[in-house]
Amino acid sequence: MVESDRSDQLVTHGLSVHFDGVKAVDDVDLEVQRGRITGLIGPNGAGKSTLFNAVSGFVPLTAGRVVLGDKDITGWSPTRISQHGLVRSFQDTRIFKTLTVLENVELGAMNQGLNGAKGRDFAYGILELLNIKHLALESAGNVALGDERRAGIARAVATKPDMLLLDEPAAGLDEDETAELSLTIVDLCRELGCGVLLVEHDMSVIFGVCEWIHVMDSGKTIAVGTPQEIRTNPAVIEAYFGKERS
Amino acid sequence: MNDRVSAWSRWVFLALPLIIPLIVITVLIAVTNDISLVQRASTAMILMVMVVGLHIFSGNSGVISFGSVAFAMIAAYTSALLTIPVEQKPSLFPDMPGFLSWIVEFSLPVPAGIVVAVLFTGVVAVIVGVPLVRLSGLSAGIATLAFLVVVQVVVTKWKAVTRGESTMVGVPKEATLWWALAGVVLAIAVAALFQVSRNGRRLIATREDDKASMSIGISIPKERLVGWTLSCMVAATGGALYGHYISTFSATTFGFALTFFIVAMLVIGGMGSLTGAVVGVLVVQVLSEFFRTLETQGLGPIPIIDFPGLTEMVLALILLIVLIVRPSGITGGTEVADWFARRKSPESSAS
Repeated sequence: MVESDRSDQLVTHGLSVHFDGVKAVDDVDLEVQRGRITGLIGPNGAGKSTLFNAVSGFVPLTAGRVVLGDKDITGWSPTRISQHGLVRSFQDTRIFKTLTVLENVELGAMNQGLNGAKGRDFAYGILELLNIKHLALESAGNVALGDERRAGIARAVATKPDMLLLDEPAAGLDEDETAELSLTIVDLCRELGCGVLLVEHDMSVIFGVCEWIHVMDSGKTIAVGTPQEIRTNPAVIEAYFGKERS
Repeated sequence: MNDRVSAWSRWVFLALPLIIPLIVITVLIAVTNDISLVQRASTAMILMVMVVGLHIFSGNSGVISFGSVAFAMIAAYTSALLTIPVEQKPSLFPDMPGFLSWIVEFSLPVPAGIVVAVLFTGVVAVIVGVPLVRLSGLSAGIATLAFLVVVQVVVTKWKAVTRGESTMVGVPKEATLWWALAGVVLAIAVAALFQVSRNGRRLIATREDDKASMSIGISIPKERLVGWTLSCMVAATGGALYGHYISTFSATTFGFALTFFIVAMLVIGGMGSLTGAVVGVLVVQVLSEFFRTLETQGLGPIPIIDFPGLTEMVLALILLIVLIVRPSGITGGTEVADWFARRKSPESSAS
């Protein structure tokens, strides 16, 4: 992909997803810039996962639009969306367990036309970036959870996305692994020059790596701003700790 | 093994451990000059071509198909129509429709007839495949079964071209044990090549996790269509070979019984691996021969068991047991190359 062809931002306009009358996501305007890590947080049931699925094409929109760069990708299939540079990881990794870690990442590299020796070299480079090169020939189903998460991210990263959506990458990891993963995410954003939208429950990760944070509650946006602004935002404090505490 | 294993060496490790023993076994069977044994081995290898064909799609995509025998039937009839000697055609097909009258006017050599039949079947596979590859699970199973029924009905009713319920006769009986071996070597080589190819690996990814494969830009219908078409063409090769091996056949030859055998062989061997397809044919064929012998001749001190359908019942029972106890089949979805790798790994870790 030529640098000038890359999408500079991902924007949603009035995005809504309703299930049987329940407003899982309601009129959300989200903006993710390339080269910046944007956090998406909110209490359980806030609508983060639904928004994530809607943006990546896995859930149909009830209303609104999704724009990637200058393309309106509303209603596109997940395959077409990822072919145009918006790629996601999964909370439950969804790694191809019978394939090796290397083969998983090579499949990602194929998305940008890298095959054979070129694809393999590129995949090895990505594995090195994520510190799991030593696991390249291991069956992906046999590696530890932390490494499996890294392999899932490596597979997504190998597609060389403009926008990388990471769904709770630190879930199930211990403190050291989480800290290491946070550094890796920052490195990835810098090395690949992509935008990152990060859904995460671990606030140390969010406040440690994000430059911009989008907060949701009950399907709606309740705050948007820098980590410092979000820390002191009364609506965010209320959503997380309740009215009394605020 | 160097960690940068090329696709070529992966192909070699996948195909040769299956091809070499088959060549050795065939040579050993040929030198015995036992006509019955040669016949059984030839049939087994032709069936193996069809099972390997089914594996290419169902094994790599995880979508079961009951329709591969329909493509074997199309190819068998097409090759027969193209290769029956010109002098016999007017009497065999007196009512050939005008738009197909050219078929009566010439005759191809058998190898050319098989190639044309396989290519024609490939075209049919693409046409049928476009809507079919969008289905999964039960819907795909029912749709492919429906296609088999449709082809059977067409073959049975289109008397002017297929001789209807009458047996197709005059088909050159040229396929031998060596043709069967060539067919199975070709089928395994093609299946292994597909498995290590870009398309094959993408199709395997869709089998592993459809959402994850879509998330990295893999088009499931496109990859399934490639696998489906190749799968049908390999099954068609088996069908055409079978036609030229038995030389007289009808629509019932390529019916539910053969479909059951082919699917049972793949499931018992292990649908997820090419090795499973080969092992499944060998195991089922040996068991079938054992029980057929019991049914017809008795075996040593064991008297004849006069129970019609004994073989099919035993096979169905084995199929059920495998599905319950070991759904991934005898090989568990692994390849011979994986077994070698596992045996080697303790040594490599020790060193």
